[in-house]
Amino acid sequence: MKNQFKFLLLILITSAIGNAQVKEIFNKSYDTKDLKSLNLQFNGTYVELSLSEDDKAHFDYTLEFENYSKKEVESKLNEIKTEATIKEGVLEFKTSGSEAKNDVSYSLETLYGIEFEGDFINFKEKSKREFRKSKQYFLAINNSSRGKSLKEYLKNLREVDKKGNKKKINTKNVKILRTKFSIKLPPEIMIRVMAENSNLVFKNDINNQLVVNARTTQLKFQSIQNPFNILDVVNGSFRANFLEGGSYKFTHVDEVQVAQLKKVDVDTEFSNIKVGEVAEKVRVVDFNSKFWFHNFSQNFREFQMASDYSEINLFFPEKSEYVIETYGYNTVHYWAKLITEIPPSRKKEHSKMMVIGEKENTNKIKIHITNGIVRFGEDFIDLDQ
Amino acid sequence: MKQDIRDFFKDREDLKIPPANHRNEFLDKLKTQNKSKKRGYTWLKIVAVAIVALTVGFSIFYEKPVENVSPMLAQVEAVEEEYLKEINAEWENFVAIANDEVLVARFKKRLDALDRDYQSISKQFKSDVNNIVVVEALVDNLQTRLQILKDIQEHIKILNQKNEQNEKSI
Repeated sequence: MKNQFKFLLLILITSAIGNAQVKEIFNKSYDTKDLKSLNLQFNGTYVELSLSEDDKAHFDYTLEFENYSKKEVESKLNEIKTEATIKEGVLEFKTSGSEAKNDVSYSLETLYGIEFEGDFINFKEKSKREFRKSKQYFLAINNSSRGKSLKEYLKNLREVDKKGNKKKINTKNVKILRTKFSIKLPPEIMIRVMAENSNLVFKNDINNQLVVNARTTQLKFQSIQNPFNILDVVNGSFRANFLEGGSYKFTHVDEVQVAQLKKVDVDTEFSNIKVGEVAEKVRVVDFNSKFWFHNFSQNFREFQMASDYSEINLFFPEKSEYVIETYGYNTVHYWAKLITEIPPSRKKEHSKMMVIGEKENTNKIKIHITNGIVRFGEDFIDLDQ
Repeated sequence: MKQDIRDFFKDREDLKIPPANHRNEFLDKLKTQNKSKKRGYTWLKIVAVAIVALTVGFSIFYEKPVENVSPMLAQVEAVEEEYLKEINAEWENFVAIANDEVLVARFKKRLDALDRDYQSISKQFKSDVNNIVVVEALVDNLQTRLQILKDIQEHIKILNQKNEQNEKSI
């Protein structure tokens, strides 16, 4: 009797635990010589995009499951929908359902649940003094691609037992999903991307014409250069080394970090933007965002900004002579220990508020700002003035 | 009526004489009877094991959700309640100090959008309460709402302070 019961339990246990299983989702290549554009649609997907060495678009999508039962793997695979069609010169690729936000995703299997051991409410304390950061600093940040390790993932989590006691989570109870999804794109073709709840990493510099609509998506680029680029990003995050040409719209984007901007029109709202260096012909329009401009490149010629309720933190250009002019009303300017307040205008008319530098200088920074805060700094900016 | 029972069988001529192999036949019958009885007992055991296994299985897999609310769900609900209270209080404070209808309208729109996002993430969370990425997204959403309200009030406070000073100096 005892042996029979033990055997039954053993079968139950072994059937629930599977070894690592690799499943191919989509693996195809398409000749793009006769195609006008590629239309890529991602929903709940992690994907790495790079340039192909031929005229083909290559899709290679596999998932590796660890500690998943066969049934769980099947269920996951059934959720993933992937298809590609070519119609009227457009290759359309769609995928959804993986729900993987990173190259490695973890999920936990416990009998009585888990608890978060830490403080949900705590905010990171803001530093009161921010130092100027170099372009190299942003390049290094944007190149790093480390996700959370299993140890980091489990750090603040505890498994709860039947009696409500907490204990460390056994890594054998963690299901690991590794996403290996690579798309190689030919260098000339126009690319349209629609992404939602996804994570897109562009591994190479892209000179293709790019049209991106991203919602709640993490985007990471190297260099994007094309005067016809249009990127519209809502929520999520955006990191890039170098943006040249085109127009960018960031709405509610918590983290926008760019090492260098050049010849771009940027429209922002409720976002946090950090720029390593502003090069020539950059224009920004904003509502209630926070900006950090750490430097300006040599001969940046003109930087224009129009904003309402914005907070602008600007380090003076180090590489060229300049003149800064601010226009508007109801704005506070901080420059070292000097505070200049321009009161509200009853007629809501813009007037010149502040000039720093010689008017004759050819490199001009023009800021039109209402209801704003502008801070200037040489090497650091104090936020608690 | 009295009879001697020793005489009772003497007159019975029809009394059957058992066949010569009656012993063997009897033993064979006994064996087959034993076998059939044994088979019945084995089936009973299998049924008993199955019932025990099913009972244990049911108790493991089905009792848990009835008896226990997920600790993570309870934690998140408590955190949500605390945040929402604070967010509502900050919203009231913000509306009281902001004298710009456009600004209030834009913040209302922003907060409504964040709330819609929250409801959508919340559905994901309820279907997978142990998914810490989803939990982080929920907490991030609440933190963002609270943070933008605190930030804009700080912004307005800086502008108003300076204006008051200006008015005094004029």
